[in-house]
Amino acid sequence: MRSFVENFPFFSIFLALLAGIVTATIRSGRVTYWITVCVCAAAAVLNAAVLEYTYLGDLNFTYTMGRFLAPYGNAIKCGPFQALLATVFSAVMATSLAGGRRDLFQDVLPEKQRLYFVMVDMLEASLLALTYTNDAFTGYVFIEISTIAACALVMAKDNGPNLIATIRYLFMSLVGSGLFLIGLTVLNSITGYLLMPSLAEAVAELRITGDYRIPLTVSVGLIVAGLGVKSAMFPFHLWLPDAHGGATTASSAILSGLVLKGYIVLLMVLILRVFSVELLAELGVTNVILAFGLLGMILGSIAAMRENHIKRMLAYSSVAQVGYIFMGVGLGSAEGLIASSFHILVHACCKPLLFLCAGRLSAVSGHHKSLRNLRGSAYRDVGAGLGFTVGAMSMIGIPLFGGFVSKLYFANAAVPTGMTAMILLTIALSTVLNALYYVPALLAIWVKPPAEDEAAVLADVHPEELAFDRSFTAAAAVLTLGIFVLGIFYHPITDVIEAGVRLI
Amino acid sequence: MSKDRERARFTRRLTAWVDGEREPKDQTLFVMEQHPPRHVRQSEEEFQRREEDRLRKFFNWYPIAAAVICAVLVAILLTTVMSMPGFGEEDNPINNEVSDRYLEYGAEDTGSENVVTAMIIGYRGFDTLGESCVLFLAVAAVMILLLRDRKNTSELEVRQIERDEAEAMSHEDLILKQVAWVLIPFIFLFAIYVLLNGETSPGGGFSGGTILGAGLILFSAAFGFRRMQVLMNRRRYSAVRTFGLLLYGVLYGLYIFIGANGLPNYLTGMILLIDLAVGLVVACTMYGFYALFSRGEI
Repeated sequence: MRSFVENFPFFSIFLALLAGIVTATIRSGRVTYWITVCVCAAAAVLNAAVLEYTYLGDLNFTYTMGRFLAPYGNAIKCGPFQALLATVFSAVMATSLAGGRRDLFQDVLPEKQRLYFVMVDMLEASLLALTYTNDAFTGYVFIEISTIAACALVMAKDNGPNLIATIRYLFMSLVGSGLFLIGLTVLNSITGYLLMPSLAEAVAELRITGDYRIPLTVSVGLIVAGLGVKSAMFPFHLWLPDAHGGATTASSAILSGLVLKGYIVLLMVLILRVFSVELLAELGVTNVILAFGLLGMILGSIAAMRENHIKRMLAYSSVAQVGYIFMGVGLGSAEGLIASSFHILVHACCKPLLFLCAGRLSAVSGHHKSLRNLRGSAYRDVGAGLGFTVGAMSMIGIPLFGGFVSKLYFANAAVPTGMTAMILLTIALSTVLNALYYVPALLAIWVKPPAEDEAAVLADVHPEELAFDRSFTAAAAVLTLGIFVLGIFYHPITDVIEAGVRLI
Repeated sequence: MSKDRERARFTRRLTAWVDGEREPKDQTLFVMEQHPPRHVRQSEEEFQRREEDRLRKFFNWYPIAAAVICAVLVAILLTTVMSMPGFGEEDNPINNEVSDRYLEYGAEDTGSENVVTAMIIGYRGFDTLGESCVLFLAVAAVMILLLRDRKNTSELEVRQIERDEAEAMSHEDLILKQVAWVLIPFIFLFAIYVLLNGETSPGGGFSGGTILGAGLILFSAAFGFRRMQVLMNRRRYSAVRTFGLLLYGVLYGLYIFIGANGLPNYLTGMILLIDLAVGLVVACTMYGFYALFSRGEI
């Protein structure tokens, strides 16, 4: 008889899934909003309990999804790593919805709001399932769910550019799913399994015997490329700025902060649990990931510098941050993966905060989004201004903010490799570039423009928008707190991640 | 008489064209076209000229790049296929204890003689639940996009659709109607047969649901939207769809809870119910796509 806490990951997945099904029948948008927020919060609490149970007990457990043990049926596997990520993802999902609430109810038509929340619920279920799965094919099924749901989140704000952005996003996403599926099929036909532990054994044997070398290499390459396309790894990132920059505030926050991470987490679990870092290094895949990561860090930031549309700037900045995460994966060491995992958490707090604040700042400036029109907007909602400042500082990597710690860990992880100088210089360069676009944005929102310019912008503002936005301020406060916690009390968190990577 | 109608239609199309209701030309390249901010923008002609230049350059390179990428991918995949295990050979890695167990104990373990059903609903039912959610979500996504609302449909279009429907009602297609009248009961009967016999014979939720959906589509095409509303209006549609997936979710949730905690299993007749639930979801997905794409309304 297993302990009751071990049911919680399954409960949280099914809670979100069933909530998604039920919300499709409820007419009122407000009610579905509250259901969704409550479900995400409940999932966060349940997963926090799992985190306590697995971390304090220093254990992991496999939970069969059905009556059949491995390798015959589905299974999920939970350790501190998965529980920590699931907790943070669920909490950030709830805060993003709360923070983008006002924009959401304006941008999405009342009769379609419930469908929007169906998508959010299913996205939550798929993020949890992607984090917890112990079966490669279950991973694929939930990748499909999150693809459809993510595209629908972009599409929900129904205007011309968004529809085009959705189509691009859909095409690129489908290419990614397709590559992943082909890779999985090849892997299945040379190993005969889908469940991760059995796959790992078979792959280890293939590595020793040297059989089926080409199919193994190709399948690893296709899986990495497929997940890379979906998580906007550098050369495949061109769909991202349109999709994330144009969507409604809550969608941008969820897509940039969480959806990209779901795929990266699956990739990390596959690397650690199935392929092993050594095999990837042997096949040269880690070097490719490292190169793409480094290029993404630089070129993503350069593209962000050239933007004057605030949300597109943040979207390009996501490309650079995803570059950091892939760089950590590409280092091919446990330290690199720990740094990447920590950065996933930091970015999952920072980017939603930045998107929410940008959405709020543009709402108090008549929904203008160019930096020129946002001048002085921080004085119209000081909370949003402060939140944006904290997020930007963390992105640049100022001490005491979360981003600094992850950069520190990346630098530490880079030391034992043979390419220390190059990696450290790239991190330094990328930091300077980050500062080069975040500091002007900060100056823009905090420096008051000439009176006549401000009057012209204020003429477009709806008086209701200037009213205090309670749910936004609460959400921004929670995320700001999260960034400070990650930046100051980082040791317990990295301990959890270390234990998690060890127990994966 | 017919000449007059011809002229009326022509006038209508002309009005639509003059009003600018035609497909805009797609001019988007890698990243969507962004107008530079107003204070640094060149004149409109200059902007147009640059855009055209960009487009021309793009279309010079695009076919070459696409061909090269495709050729490389084809080469990689063909090389892979050459060195993969041969199709249907006995000592392939895929013929291991997993497939043996499915073939030998499938009926015993899950109570379903059809191995495919045993596998997708018994052994790997969680994946199938995910797939059913994909279908559910796909319809929901199409609803967000196409369900008529004030943003995507104007008054004029609504009136146009109503006119078209009235016209279709007054010119009924006799052959289609008579054939449908004869066929539809048999299609539904066959669908129910396939659904209920998923455990013992080829078939099950996905195939039965597809047949059911095809029957609904035929009914709707032959007898028109108004009469379809008697059989399936929006509320009933949404109830059936939600009921199907909810039934599957709750049943399989209980099944997982029982299985993982080692409780005694009382859900022996589960496969039949789940097959039915999947059938409802699939049928609703098929019909939903048809209705939304043809009318924007269910």
